[in-house]
Amino acid sequence: MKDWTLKWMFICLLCFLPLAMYLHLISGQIELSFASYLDSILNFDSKNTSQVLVREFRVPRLLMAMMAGAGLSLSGMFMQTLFKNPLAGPYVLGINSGASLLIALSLMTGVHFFQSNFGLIGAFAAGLLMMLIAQRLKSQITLLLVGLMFGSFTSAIVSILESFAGAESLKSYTMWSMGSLQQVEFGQLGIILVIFALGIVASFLLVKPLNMLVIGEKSAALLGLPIKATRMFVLLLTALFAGLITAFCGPIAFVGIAIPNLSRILFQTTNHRYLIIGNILIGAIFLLLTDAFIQVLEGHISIPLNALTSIIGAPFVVFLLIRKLR
Amino acid sequence: MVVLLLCLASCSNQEKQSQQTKSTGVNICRYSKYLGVFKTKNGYLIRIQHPDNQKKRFQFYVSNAAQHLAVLSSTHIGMLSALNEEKRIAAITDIRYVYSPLVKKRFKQKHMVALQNEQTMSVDQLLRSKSEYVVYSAFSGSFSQEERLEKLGIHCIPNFDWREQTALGRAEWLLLFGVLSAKVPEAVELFKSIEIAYERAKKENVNSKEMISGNVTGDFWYAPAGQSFMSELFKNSGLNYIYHGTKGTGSLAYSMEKVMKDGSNVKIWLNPGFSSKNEIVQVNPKAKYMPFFKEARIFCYTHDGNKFWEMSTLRPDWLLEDLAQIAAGKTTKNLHFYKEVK
Amino acid sequence: MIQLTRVSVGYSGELLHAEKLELEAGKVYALVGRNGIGKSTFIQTISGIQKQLAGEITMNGQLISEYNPREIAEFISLVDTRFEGVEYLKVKDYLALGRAPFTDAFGRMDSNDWRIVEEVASDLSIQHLLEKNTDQISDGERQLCSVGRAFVQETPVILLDEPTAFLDYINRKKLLELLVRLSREKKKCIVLSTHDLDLCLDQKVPFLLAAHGTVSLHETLSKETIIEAMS
Repeated sequence: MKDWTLKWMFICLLCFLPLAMYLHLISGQIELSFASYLDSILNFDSKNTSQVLVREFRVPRLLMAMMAGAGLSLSGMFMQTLFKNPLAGPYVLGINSGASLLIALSLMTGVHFFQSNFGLIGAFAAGLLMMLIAQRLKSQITLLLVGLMFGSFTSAIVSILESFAGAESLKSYTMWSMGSLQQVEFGQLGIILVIFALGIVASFLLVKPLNMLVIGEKSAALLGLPIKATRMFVLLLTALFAGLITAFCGPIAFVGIAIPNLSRILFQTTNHRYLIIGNILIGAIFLLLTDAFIQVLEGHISIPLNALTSIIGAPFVVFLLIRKLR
Repeated sequence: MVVLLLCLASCSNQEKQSQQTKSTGVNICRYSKYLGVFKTKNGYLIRIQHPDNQKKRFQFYVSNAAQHLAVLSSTHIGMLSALNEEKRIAAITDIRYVYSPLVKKRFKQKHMVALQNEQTMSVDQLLRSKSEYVVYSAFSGSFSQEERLEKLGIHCIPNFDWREQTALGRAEWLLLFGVLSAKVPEAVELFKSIEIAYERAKKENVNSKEMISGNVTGDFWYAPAGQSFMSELFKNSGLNYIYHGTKGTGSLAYSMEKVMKDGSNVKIWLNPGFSSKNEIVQVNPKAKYMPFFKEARIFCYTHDGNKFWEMSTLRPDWLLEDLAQIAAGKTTKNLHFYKEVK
Repeated sequence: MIQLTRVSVGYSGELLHAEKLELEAGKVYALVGRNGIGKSTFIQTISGIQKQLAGEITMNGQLISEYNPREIAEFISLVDTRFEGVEYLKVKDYLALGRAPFTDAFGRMDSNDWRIVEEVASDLSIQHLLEKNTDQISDGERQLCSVGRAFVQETPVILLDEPTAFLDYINRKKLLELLVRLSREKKKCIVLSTHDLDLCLDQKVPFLLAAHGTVSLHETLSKETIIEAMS
């Protein structure tokens, strides 16, 4: 693809993003005036229902949609490049399993309080564990297998917890696993944004290593890439994004697998300089539009987030498989 | 071979039964849509209509009191304890959800077994309990063990009290337990008194402050729909339920935004599912932004959830009395099920 | 340039042993031997990607193990002949990856880097492939691209593991001639494992004979000796 075609595509995406944000904001069930939006940020009055609505409900939901979309797409991209597999996703190394396990523990033992903190701890612990293991492993396939085993293991433990749990905790856990962009409070946004921004900056440091990994770990090593250190860094960033999002939103299906593939097919490049930006934009726009759609339907049917991302994502992944087999 | 013999045995049993099951034709149940109880020469005929499948009917004849009963739902325990027949209970699902002190004591004394849950219960455990009948609720649609248990000679009785659309229709399932414990006159008597108390507690007009029910689960606020059983109950107690005008007999699933807007004048909040404001916020931090979180008086039954689930089906009169008191805004000590949430 | 002293090559057990080998600049060494004897392993061990079981390999007097990956990459390049192409990866970008040891942290190519890419493309007569995707060219074309990528790396030592498997006769001859010319003009040390005995004999290159568990250097070798050693 010609360079200028690529640049034009980016400009289009960049213009489409604010449009998607706007659509997301207005798709809520309640009509709000533009003044409410402004005031909620500039002159916040906690007694004014409209302003509370904007600040505590719409803004967090908007920002989480963007960050979850972008973050999951990025971590999916990392995994797909590292393992040279277009079906890899952010959860392939069991990082979200760590979050699930701790959340399940917290819900089933009735300790609700630090739910998202538990999720964060779980995710980072899992990420750390994976990094330690990766350090000792030579083979990539072994790493993948260990990740899968870890995922299965934690699922098994969660199942056991489920069988002992009371009806209420079970329901809470099931609700959590359906994914939600609405659990984040305004006050938490600060720290989330900071971590997210750090992750994005760090991602750009991986442009060259990722571009080299495209031709395989061995060849990249022969070109001077320190493989173990690179793997660790990629794992760290994947854990950062996947863990952050899973802790605050629960597991969100398919976004991390479908979007990176969509970006590659759209931009027809393997250059991660473009893919990183592309995934951030397309991921954010996708989740914004998906969640806007859910909001529009809220009066009539209540669709959980994962249901919709699966309905869209699963056929796309099938299409990818067919394409690969051809 | 054994299966064949069992089949032959049950066939001949049925023949014997049909001779004795000619009924007098009058259904003692007056409110229930699905339960029919008919007096016969030596006992009673029970006829239960499946709520969804017109063709499916359960019919059996009871002449003697059941010595051992397996009951898979709290309401069943409640009804038996109201008749002082807890001693007949040989198997329950989960001791954690039992309210009746006598049942809890008997469980400790190992007079009954726990079957964990309706869908995956252990047939061996059930056999140990020597139960002649299993009363189940079929919340998930069907009772998977039915055929197997029938082959073993254990009668499975579906209890559709939870599918009844009227409060008295639900309570009337007491009569089923009256039949099973050979205390039909007592059951009829008790039901009559409940009926009178219920009618007495009914209010003519809706005149309370605005009320909302339910809470957020996941991303949505679930509340009873306008034509549902709970909504009717609210109306009968004089409560001004904001969603009374909506359609449907199930649950509404609204976004928090909508509830925020609709609930701007709500002064009574029922059934949030927790017994303290702290707990409500722990599970859903955004609850504190609801206008009625600070402004309304909140009531729920979870401080003694087991009592509610066990007794409220049988005693809609108590429920109505509670709700009427809440509606009237009076001081609210000594409610049967509810307690103010602080 | 590269010295091997009592080097034992293999994975879990020894495949080949090299007592003392000195690989010099300005020469093309043809590594010959039967299939499965360990020629690939030998080449990979020299490149540093595979650890030797015993012995020392030095690069200009210093142990290879003491260099970091980037330093090694500036000195030794290995042609990856099993490259299957990557979707959306253009040939020119693939060749450009050969400059990775020299580009900045973001991998930016300057005009000098691109000039090298174009020169190599012209040397190998693959300019017409530059804008094509690496997964959409033939196996033979892809093989030439792999060679090109190593050339772009401009390392003093170039290792090739059976680089002519998919090439037709003309291209095999041309490649060998190119390698010989490169080694002479730019003083490179080139090692390639090959089955093209006749072409190598024509070019009068020194041989590394892998036979009977050892690798030995022979300035000249007759065809009969080779065949006998291989049986």
